Amino acid sequence: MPADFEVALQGVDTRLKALQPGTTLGDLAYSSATANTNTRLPIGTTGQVLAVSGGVPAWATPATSGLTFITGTSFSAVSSVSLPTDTFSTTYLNYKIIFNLTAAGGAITETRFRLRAAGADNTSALYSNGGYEINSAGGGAASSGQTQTSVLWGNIATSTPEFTKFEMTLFSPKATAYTTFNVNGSKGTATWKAMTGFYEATTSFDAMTFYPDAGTITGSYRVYGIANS
Amino acid sequence: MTKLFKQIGDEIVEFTEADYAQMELDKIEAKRIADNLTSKETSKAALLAKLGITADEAKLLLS
Repeated sequence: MPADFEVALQGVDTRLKALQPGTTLGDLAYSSATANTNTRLPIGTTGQVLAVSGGVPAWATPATSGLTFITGTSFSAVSSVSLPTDTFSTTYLNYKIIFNLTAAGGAITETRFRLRAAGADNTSALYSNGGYEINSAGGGAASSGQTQTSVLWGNIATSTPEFTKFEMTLFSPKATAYTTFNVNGSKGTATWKAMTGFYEATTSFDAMTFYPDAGTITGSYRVYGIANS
Repeated sequence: MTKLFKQIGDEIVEFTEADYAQMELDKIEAKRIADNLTSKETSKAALLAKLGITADEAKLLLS
């Protein structure tokens, strides 16, 4: 090959590389301030989105917002069900929990819950709550409990256990502050209940346990972290 | 005695001796609370009967 021709090809190669600077799968190129020269934007990481930073394109990790799924599972014919250790962390201040019962077995009377830390349920008599419930027949009743060793959600009708479902907003369980909760849902036979309460100490909790007084429960739960922004 | 099981996350394990003991304590506590409520209701009913008024009439007096 003539030497002049080789030099010319090298020039073309250099020019092409300036226009298409990508070197890796997924790389992008954008125009730079220099004419006929593009800048390589290396591929971002999973979940990143294309944004603008300093007047040029850049990959950015979108800020999380709303609810973020943390954990969830189904359970079958167990006498208690606990969220995994460290479900609650410093990542989120508040949490949303969906508890869905689909079946029950044995001599169930009531369902309850407790907060939990380092693999152990907290049974201190520091749980207090107050609420109100209305059933399909129009009957209503207030319910409350002060400085008890657990929180009573309500009875389960073994013939219709699927009526027992609730959503809970749990406030600051991990923080060294009072843990408070709002619970809203159904229990027993077509009875709606709303309840609020707290654990009266600044204990830091990383999970919680749901359990019936007796018998077994079957169903599922889902836990979501609530983003601060 | 029937074996009881608990689920922690996805792991299912048998109740420990401490779990069985806690369950017995919980039963005692639940009975104490229920008895206390029953006792209060009985006392209220007895007082209303003594006064010769209904619960609604008692509420009216306190309003």
